[in-house]
Amino acid sequence: MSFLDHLTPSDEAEMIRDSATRFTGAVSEAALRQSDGFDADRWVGMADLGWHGILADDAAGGLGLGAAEAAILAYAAGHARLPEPFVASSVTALTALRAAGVGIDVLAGLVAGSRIFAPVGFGLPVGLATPVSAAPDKDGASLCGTVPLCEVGPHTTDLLIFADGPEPMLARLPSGTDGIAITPYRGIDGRHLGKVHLDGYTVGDEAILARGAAARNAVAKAEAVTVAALCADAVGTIDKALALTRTYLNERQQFGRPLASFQALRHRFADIGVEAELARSMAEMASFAAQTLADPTPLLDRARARICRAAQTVGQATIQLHGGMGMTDEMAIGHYFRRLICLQALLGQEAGSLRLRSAALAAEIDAEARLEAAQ
Amino acid sequence: MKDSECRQPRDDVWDHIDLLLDDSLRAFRGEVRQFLRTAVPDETRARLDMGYSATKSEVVAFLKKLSAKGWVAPAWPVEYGGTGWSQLQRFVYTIELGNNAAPSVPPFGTAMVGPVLYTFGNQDQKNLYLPRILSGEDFWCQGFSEPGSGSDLASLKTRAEDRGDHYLLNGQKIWTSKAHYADRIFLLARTGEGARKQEGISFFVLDMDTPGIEIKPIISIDMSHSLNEVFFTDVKIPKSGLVGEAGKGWSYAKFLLGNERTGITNIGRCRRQIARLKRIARASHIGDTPLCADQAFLRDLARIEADLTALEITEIRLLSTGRDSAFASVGPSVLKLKSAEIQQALAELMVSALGPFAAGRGPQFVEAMEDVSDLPQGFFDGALAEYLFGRATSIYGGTNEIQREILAKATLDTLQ
Repeated sequence: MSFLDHLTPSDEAEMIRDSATRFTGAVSEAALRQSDGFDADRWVGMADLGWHGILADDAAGGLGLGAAEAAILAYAAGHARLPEPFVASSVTALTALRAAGVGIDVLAGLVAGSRIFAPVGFGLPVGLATPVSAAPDKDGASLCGTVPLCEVGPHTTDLLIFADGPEPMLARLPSGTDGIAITPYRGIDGRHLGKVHLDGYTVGDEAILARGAAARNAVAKAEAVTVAALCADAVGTIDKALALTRTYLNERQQFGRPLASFQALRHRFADIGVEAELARSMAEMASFAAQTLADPTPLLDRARARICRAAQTVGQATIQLHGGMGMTDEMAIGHYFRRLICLQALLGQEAGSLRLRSAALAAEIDAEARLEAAQ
Repeated sequence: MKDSECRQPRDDVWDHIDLLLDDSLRAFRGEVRQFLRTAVPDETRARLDMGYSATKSEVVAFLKKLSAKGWVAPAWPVEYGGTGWSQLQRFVYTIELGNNAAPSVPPFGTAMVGPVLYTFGNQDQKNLYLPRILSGEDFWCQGFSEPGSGSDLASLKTRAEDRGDHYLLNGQKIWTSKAHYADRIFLLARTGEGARKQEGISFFVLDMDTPGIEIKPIISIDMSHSLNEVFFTDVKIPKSGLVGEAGKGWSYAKFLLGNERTGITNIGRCRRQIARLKRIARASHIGDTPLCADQAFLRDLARIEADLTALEITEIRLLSTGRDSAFASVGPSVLKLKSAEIQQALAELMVSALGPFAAGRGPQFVEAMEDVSDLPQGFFDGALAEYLFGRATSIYGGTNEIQREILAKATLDTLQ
């Protein structure tokens, strides 16, 4: 499949988009605020529409689709500011589970919505080395390390832990396992997060899904699809922030005319519209790269760098354009701004993404200099 | 990397368009690169790499090569001499021109008046003018802007009075690029009045050696001469110089400007600039630190690269969407605005990379710098010339502020 084919959505993709838009369109701002970070009925509703199985095999009840279709759902979830861990469980964890070759029964529970996985030490945030290390132990392996940010909450049924070290592994453990300390807290976007602390926890062979290179590959694959989904999530969030701002600028009157008639505000709105289009381009590229390329990482780094900057620029401008009202918790715009801040953290921040490319540039310059000197 | 791969545009992962193209487009790109490798003389490539613009004789020589290949105006319909390439082939071709430091094909004939002539002109006009654009024989210039009509183009005052067998033209144009090279001019002039200022404007073509035309150079901030004022005093335009219908000139001009906005992203040239910045970074120092070890410089360069990637993909999106999509109406303004910002950011980084050597100018300065820097001499003078003239990228073709207003109309204003 070429990038051009990718840019032309299939009928199936359009159906998924329509169905997702109808579903999220029915979620009111009041309902979002009442759900306190997780709504069990909404999670089941997503399952009924096939969200959790978008990337899963037919045999597990899934749709067997790819990063592009997962990105459509992540966009809709971002646009509606759904707080449930769709990307964490149904994209990141599911991709790692599939790549690790788990049984259909495990996937089926996730797809049906009855099991909710929290990735630990990989995927969210993107691009960090896992703080968990695994060492051989007489009963299996011993896990040590503290993961400061995981999308884990009361709803979580399973932890999916990636450990590196002498014996890299991907292990699945039930949430609430004795010996795994989870300190819960909230993200500024209202999501359930937690710190996971492992202090020599012994994981038995039965819980280890993949080892060595197989574990590393599963996690790399999951990270690539995660970047694509988070980029789409961010573009959905950006689009909604723009839509809210557009409405506000047209409704709010000052000096006897709508704010939308003031050129200084019009131009600032135009500039963030440009940011949104550049972000959309990068999100399209990211889902193509994650799905198609053997080594998508350099392109994904560039995508998340650009999308983080768009998220920052758009978030700040939409608050400014709301004036004093933008500073209130009452207005929805602030909630989108906070979500954009979290998305930048999950994507590894612009600075983190650019640092990788800066280092690569320095190496390229060095190589070119040596080549020229040799000639 | 093998030696042979390094002197050509790189094929590595950061040249991501490669990853996005299918095999046939990749093969096409190879064909274009192969052709350009010999069609652009090394001397020309070196001069353009340093930031100098091509001389007329360099442009003419390159146009001859393109003309022999039939590649002067790929976008034209095949019946008028176009190549029949897909939009993506044209996109790749344009990138490769810039990426290989080829002289710019003057847009006034190929991208501006040509499409107006084959779309709205009569058969005689098509027969006379189009082949001479394709062969490189005719250089054109554009007579749109006037001293009182810049962004507000429709307020133009130059008048062409219908005198029966000819029009009598009086007035003045300004910012006329390359008028002193041009054989012909296309222009807008008022032939009547209407309720709206856009009415009563007509589109003409005229030979530059017609009596009554006077050209005065405008020296630009880069201290060079490419811009002009053009004065018309009782100039007789033959009736055959009217394009399309009298009074419909504004709609032809809008058609022309729409073409202009999609063709000015200069992505290939930006890629070449990034390669050049890497070359400068090796030789330039901040105190004792080579620039290539300066984190702030590397970060700035990486950020511009990411912007450029986003711009390239945005252009591909625009090329691949149908004309009826919502993005088709705002896409050209997004590209125009962002490409100007990227080109200017690259030029700014180039000048700052030159450090203390960015202040001088001219042959004496270049000569004086010979023994104090590892950089090739031309990097000094050329970079600054490019930086200075590059301020125009956010002004011509509709200023960035005009583009923002177009975007606000399309995306902010509620439909009544």
